[in-house]
Amino acid sequence: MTPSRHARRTAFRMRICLLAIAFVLSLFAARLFQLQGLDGNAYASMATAEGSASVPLHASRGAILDRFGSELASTIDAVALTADPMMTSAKAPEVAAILTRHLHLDYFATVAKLRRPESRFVYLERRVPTWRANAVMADLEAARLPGVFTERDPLRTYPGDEIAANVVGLVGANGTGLAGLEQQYDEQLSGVDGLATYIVSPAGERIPLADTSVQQPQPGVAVQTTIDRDVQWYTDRRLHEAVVDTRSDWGAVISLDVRTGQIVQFSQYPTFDPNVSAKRDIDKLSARGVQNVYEPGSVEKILTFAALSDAGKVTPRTRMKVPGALWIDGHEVNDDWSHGMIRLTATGVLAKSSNLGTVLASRRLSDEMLYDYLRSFGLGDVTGIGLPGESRGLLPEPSIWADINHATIAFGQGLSVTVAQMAAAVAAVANGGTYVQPSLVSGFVEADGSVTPAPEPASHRVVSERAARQVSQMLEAVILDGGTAPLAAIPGYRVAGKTGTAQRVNPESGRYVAGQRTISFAGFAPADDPRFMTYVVLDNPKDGSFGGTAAAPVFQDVMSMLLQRYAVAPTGTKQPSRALEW
Amino acid sequence: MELMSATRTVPAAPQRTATPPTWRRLDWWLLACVALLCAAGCLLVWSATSRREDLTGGESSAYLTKQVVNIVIGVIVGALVALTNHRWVRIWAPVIYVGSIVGLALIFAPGVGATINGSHSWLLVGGFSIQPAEFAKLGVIVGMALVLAERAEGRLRPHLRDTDLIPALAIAAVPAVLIVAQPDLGTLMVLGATVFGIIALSGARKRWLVGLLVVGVGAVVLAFAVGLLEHYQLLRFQSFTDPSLDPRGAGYNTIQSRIAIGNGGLLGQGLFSGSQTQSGFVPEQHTDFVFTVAGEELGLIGAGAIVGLFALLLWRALWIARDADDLFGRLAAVGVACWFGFQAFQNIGMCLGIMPVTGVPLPLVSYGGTSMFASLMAVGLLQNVHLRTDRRLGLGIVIRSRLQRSRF
Repeated sequence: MTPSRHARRTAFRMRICLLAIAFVLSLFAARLFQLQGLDGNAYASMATAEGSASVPLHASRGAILDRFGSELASTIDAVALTADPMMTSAKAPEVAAILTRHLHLDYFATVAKLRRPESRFVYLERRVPTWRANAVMADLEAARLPGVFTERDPLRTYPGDEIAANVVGLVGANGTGLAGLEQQYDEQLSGVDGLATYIVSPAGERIPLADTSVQQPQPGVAVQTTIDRDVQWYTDRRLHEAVVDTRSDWGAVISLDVRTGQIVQFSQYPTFDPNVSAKRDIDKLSARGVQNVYEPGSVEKILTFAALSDAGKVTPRTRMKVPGALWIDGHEVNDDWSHGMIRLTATGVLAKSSNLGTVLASRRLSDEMLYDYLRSFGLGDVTGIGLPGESRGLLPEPSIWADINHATIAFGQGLSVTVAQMAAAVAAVANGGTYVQPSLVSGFVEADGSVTPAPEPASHRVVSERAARQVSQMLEAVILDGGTAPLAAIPGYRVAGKTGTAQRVNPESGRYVAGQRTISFAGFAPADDPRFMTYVVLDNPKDGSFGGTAAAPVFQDVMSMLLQRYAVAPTGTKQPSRALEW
Repeated sequence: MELMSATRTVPAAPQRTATPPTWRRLDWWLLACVALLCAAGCLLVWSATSRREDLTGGESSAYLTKQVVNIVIGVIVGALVALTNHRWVRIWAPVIYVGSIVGLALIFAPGVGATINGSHSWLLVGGFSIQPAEFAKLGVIVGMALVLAERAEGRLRPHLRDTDLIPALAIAAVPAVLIVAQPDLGTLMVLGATVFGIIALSGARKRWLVGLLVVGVGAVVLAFAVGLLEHYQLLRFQSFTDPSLDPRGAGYNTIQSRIAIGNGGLLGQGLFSGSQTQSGFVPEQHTDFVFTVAGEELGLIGAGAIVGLFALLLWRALWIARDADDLFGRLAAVGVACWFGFQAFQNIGMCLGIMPVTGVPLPLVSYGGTSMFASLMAVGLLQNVHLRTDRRLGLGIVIRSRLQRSRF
């Protein structure tokens, strides 16, 4: 090896060295350019995401108000107690001891939560009243136990407990409405949650005074209902009593302001206390007044006679010969009391609730006419009062009617209705023949106090005012001696009404069950200038009650309260006496 | 000592009279690079720690102050090295080498060694923590340069024989073993690259270089196969290949440093206002990951400038090596260049996600006393070699040509 070769070799290696440096530095430059120039935006957004945490700011849920502004459902400030198990696991027993001292928590479950591995967040208890959470936090601070935090977690309460529970409904643990108005108006009630984004340290702590963006929550809108809390409370108790006394499966009472269609109370039993989660079960939760269907029985005769009267087929004095029985399409139709050939006026047919008389009278209407009147009264379609899961009921198309269908539908069998449907239909008669869509919600109160009224309820004329007045007069006879419901009479007031005692279809078999009935009473007062209508339904009473004996007294109590509370003066007119027979 | 007489062929007297004062003969390009890197390091360390009250204890400029003190001490020591007569440097070389070996060995003595971040590589002496491995790099460089130079210069045709390389490698092996025992993989890799560079530019035959490479690669493969590597080191290598494997664990550093650098963009977010830096997302940001501060807060331009300064520094170091009159000076300069170059490559590469995470500081920039002292001493050594090289007109050329002849 010559020196020059050696030197050349060294110089060559020096050049290689320089080349390597140049290569590596170019690599760095390229990588820097890639990271910062090309992918810069992606990394910048990753940086933002890495360094920030978002906390939802729960919008407070709007209240549900009664017609005078009393709260049926409201939201109060409460907090959720949360923990960072990384901070609490070391002293979990001490923390749990303090927590269980103040809250109804299971000690061992709480310790397990406080020690949850690889977690930085657990809910210890949700919707703790603020004062109680403050006590817990004060004790924890005094004991120098970090790692438990609070976050806002509004609590939904129902100040009236069970009052109107089936109408108001309830919200689930996640804050969405599960039933009733809470479900139907969930969107308006819940408002729009806000979002606070904080800059946080790698340990997840919020950095004070750092950039924070807050999107304020929009509070929910309060729903103003037409319910009168006091009347509702009274009716709830009265219905409860009636259902228990008659050992019925369920019962419902609805009262409407007949001029506006507003539902003043809508009582249902069984019911539930939305404040007590343990007692909720689906059987009690359902809004039976719009979801359950049943055959209305004789109350439906009000609609048949209104139709007949409107069509000019009967007047209160129309004389009819009523046989003891009728054979129609091989079925024997009877009245519920045995009689031979009797001579009844149209008023008498209604007052005594003669099925046979109704069948004979209804033959003056064609299938289509009867069907159209009933549809016009709102049967076979939802009322749209604003409760979820409303049923349409069942009104068969006239094209499939046989004579027997026409006959039974005329006296309220062979069709199904809901309480709300039937009440609205009877209210149309009370309202001078004009059907007003029943409503539960009158408006929405914004957070700033401004009120947006609910859309005007739809209305349409079903029968003439004269027909309505004639039927109203006939219905007054029901309350009188000789009628089926003298127990519905309210001293000093003229009352119109109709009992119903329908054969009950077993929902499972789809057949009538002997001895099972759905009893009801629908009425309005004052009869010559109606203000309120009330409809009482008791399903499957087991004590042998009839509409006139069990439903009518409930009507009488509720209607009396309504008339007094709303200071409805007796009209002072004399009740025209009508001959029931001829 | 008699071997050293060969280098005294340069007459001292004419050199002294013909040369301008020392300060004018310093390599000012090199000094400017070093000064800028140190200044940038101060700012970046300050920015990375000013809001880290857990580190600074509430005084935002605590780390700045410490780093400035480190630099001042380092500059004094480095100046001493630079201005020491080259003969004395060769005399001091064994002292530095042996001293660093003793330091490395002392780590394993009970009571003075300390484990920080998984590496048992610290000496705690009188409230100071010292990393002997940093001095060991310098020690190995001067040690190897000395041994090779002593061997070569004694000969008529002073080029290296194969047998000369064995003691030189032995010089490197002793601290290498001690560093493996710590274990400090990053420093070992730097040391390996430095040794390789010195051997390569000493003019050794190609087969030595190939052999070294084979041994190095074999050692790595063996380490993986036998399970010599600590678990965390394996994880680091795995997460280097796929950081998303364990984004909160082993891949955390890689991902966070990449995010921080990417967040800088072209112009950066400005000193003291990088969101990732100021929030402390990147671990060890004032030491090993200081480059990410530059990346985020100074952007492509700032980070690029730091890379550029290192380029200039390495170019100057290699230039000094090329021009060196004697083998010792050349190999020492090459050693320093390889050390700085490979360590900067490893460190910046790790921050950029193109190298696995190994805990080595960025020379002259990262916070840390020992590293700063050793680096500035190395810069001093470069200056010393440069001062020894007289390549000015006239006499210089004559002398050099004589020297060159005598060398090779």
